[in-house]
Amino acid sequence: MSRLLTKDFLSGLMFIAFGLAALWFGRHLPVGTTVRMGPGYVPQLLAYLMLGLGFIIAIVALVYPGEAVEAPSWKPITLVTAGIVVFALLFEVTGMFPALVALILIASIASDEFKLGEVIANIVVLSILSLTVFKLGLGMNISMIAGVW
Amino acid sequence: MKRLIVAAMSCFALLACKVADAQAQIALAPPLSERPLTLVVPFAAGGGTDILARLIGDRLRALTSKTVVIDNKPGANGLVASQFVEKSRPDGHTLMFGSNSTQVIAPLLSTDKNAMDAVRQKFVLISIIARTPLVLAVNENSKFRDLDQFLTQSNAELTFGTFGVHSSPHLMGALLAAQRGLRLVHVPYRGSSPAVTDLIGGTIDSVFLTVAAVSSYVEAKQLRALAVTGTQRVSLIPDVPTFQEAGVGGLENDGWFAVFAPAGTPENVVVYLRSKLVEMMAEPGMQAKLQELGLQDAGVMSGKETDSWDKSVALTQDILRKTRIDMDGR
Amino acid sequence: MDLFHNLVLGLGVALTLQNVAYAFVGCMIGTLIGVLPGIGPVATIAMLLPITFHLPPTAALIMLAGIYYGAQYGGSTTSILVNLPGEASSVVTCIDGYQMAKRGRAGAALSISAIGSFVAGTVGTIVIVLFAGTLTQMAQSFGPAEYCSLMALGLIAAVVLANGSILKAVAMVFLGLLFGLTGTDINTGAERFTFGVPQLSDGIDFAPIAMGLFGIAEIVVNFERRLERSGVIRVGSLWPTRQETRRACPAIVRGTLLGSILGVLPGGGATLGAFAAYTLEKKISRYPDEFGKGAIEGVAGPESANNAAAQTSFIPMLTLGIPSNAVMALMVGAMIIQGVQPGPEVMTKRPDLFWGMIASMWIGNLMLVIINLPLIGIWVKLLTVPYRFLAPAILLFCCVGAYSLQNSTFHVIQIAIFGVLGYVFMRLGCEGAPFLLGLVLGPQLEEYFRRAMLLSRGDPLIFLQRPISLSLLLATAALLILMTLPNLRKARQSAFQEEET
Repeated sequence: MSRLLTKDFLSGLMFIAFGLAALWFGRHLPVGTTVRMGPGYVPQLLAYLMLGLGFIIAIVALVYPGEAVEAPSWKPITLVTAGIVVFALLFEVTGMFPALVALILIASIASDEFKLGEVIANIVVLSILSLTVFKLGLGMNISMIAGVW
Repeated sequence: MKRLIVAAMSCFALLACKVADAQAQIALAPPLSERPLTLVVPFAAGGGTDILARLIGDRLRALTSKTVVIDNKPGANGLVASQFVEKSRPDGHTLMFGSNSTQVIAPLLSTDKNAMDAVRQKFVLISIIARTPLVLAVNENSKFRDLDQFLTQSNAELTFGTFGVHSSPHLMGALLAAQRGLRLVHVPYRGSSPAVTDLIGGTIDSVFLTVAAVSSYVEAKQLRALAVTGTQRVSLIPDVPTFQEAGVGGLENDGWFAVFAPAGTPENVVVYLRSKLVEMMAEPGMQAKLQELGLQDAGVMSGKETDSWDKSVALTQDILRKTRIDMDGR
Repeated sequence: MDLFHNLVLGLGVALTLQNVAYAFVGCMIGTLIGVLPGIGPVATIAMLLPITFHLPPTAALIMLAGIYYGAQYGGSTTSILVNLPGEASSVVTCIDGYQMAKRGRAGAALSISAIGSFVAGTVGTIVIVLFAGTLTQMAQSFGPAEYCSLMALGLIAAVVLANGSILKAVAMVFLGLLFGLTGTDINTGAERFTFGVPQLSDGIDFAPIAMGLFGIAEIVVNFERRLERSGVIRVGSLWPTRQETRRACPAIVRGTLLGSILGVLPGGGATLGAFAAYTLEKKISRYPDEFGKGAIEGVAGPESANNAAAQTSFIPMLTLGIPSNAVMALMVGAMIIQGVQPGPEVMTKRPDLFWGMIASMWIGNLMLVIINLPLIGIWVKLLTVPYRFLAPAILLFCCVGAYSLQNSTFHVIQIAIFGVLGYVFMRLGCEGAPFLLGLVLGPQLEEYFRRAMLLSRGDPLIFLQRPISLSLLLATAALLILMTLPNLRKARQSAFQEEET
């Protein structure tokens, strides 16, 4: 088992990456002095702290490897993320109902037990539920089908 | 023959009447369709601006017989709301409740050099709703009993709190300091309440805020108001002189709230909305509400929309030059 | 005697049919939106503000207040059932509450949470009546230096409450701090980490992050494990066992005390209270290993704390007109719309409003515990719905909830992004709670630090010179030392055991 694929080592790498990203994206902010801090002071300070901690964590992980990280299965995370993004893109353009259908379909595929009948039933129930709760109950200013209602 | 001519002339007359009637109908047709009006507010719900906007929305609903929806789109000192409104259909159904902060100060201080020109071109100022006088206040226990004492204190540095960096009061305070050679240190807060809290607690020396933010504390004798901006005294705190009266020039110009529409809105819609808004602000009920909120009516700015905006821009540019405020936020 | 008079006046106002009805409506709406992810009391109160135009002032404020603590009750429900914190203060409840649910103890968690909240609410109301003046004065003596030290204490507490590696917890707190910096710098107006997106220039909203990090990530992980809830979860009894109740009671008392005091401080009182309560319970518990796996004190303490804080957060608003959080700011707005000028004079000029509201708070709490306890049965039943139906429903409600925050799809995209981040965190064994606390407290820490330095003209000794600040910093140092020592009782126990052998 590779010492590089432990949870702790990869966490260390992640923190280092965030530290570097913070330094990069905050590079144009004036830092100022401790007494008169500029907007860039704390970001830079934190970025260096992240880098430092990341290194320590990674090195400790190499010496005392902890749990190995489990191989992720790509289906759930990709599908759930895709479902949310599709919802976001469709919601304002086509209204709630098409976005809802898309989200439920994609999410149901992610669950590994896809039976079309059940999924359609779920869609119907949730459509009625969201209509009642969001549009009628809370009076939200959203359209079920854009341009129609 | 004569009968024919008379018949023809009567027909013609009848026709002419009908045409004239139809013309009149078109002229009277409301310039807005049946869809609801959306008033976009660039600040969060419940705040001072929002309350005023909701009052306006309520009256507008009554005066235009259309549904009026308030849409809060806070963020980036009005930029989020501006971007939304300028992209909307210019038919008079999407309006923005802006202020000199959002449509003058923010564009002038933007990193984009052309922001001010862009805003001038992309929006039409329908009507100025109210002016917002600002007040300089100190703690009741402060050694400054009036504005004079505040201005003539020896070279000590004084702190003044406001509700945000690059806000109207920030500029006013900086202007006062620049003009009188005072050393005023600006302490920005997120909103008026923390500033008032710190003033009462003695952490800062003074605040420059809206009248509404301090009036109840002045009444309760916890704070003392020294002076107000603008040309008239404010009815909520009638004993407080204006800066002008107290002999300080340069602070006669208040901030203002106005309703904007995206550029390209048809002229008749603009005229219609303008007339409704002017009508609304002249109502005694509205006047009373403005007083309650510590605001002044449009006064001298009423009816001179483009001029007022231009003048405001020029004045603000002047202040920014004199005080050298820029992205460094001194 | 005066006090008695006022209470009678208050009860008289609060117990009119109209006001009771509005309190009930407020509580119901509040519970509902508390349960729905994303939509919180702030958004709901904002939506309902226009309605308050047409109501008498007392009724309007009572209804809005009902929505506020109703949301607290409802928020704990989703934290426990599906790991979705409704507010920053409910994040801690997720840690042990959700674990209890996974073990079939959801009913117990929910009922202890409701009962604890009710006790805290009652005590909170009493505190307001008796100590409003003192607490207000205490809040007044808190300047930026004191706040800064308090936040520092809170951040160390965040590390303590983590259940895994301390190094990683510290790093997560710093990461949260870093994310929290996104937005416009309050002192200079400069934009940090906003990538030119205007929706980010006021910072990242808490709700999308919480939903993504906790809720979405949990769904993904459950999909991976092919969790079929109906098979795996044995739903236990709806009530806590005797042992659980015995453990929970002192936690409720401690939480209430902490929450009552911390709630008065403007800015994050409830969140700090909940986290502090959790840390306290963990440190003095006889069963520290259970924390993170379903310890009932980990639910009872924080829930009482955040409800007590919700009550006492009304104090600055009622006595000074100064709102201590976003909801109070809306209440101030509602008062202004009604023509009531909030400020120090409300107590004397409108005693009916003042005392009526306070009396109604207790009535609201009573109503909420009566509404919520029977609902527990329904919520627990909901958990038995097969996950392949439940998960898409949760996703849908999260998405709509996120949208409703500012009517913007950008927030929906945010929950996707933080869902991915949360998933990565989970896979790498990094905890979300310290991250969230860093996110919430960090910007405040920086703001107060810079303001304190500005006011002291650059003299850092101010943090040590002011007495409250000094004591808070000493407490922080003590906590740091305690962190390195093992749990107190355990040490004592093992010491005894060694003596016995």
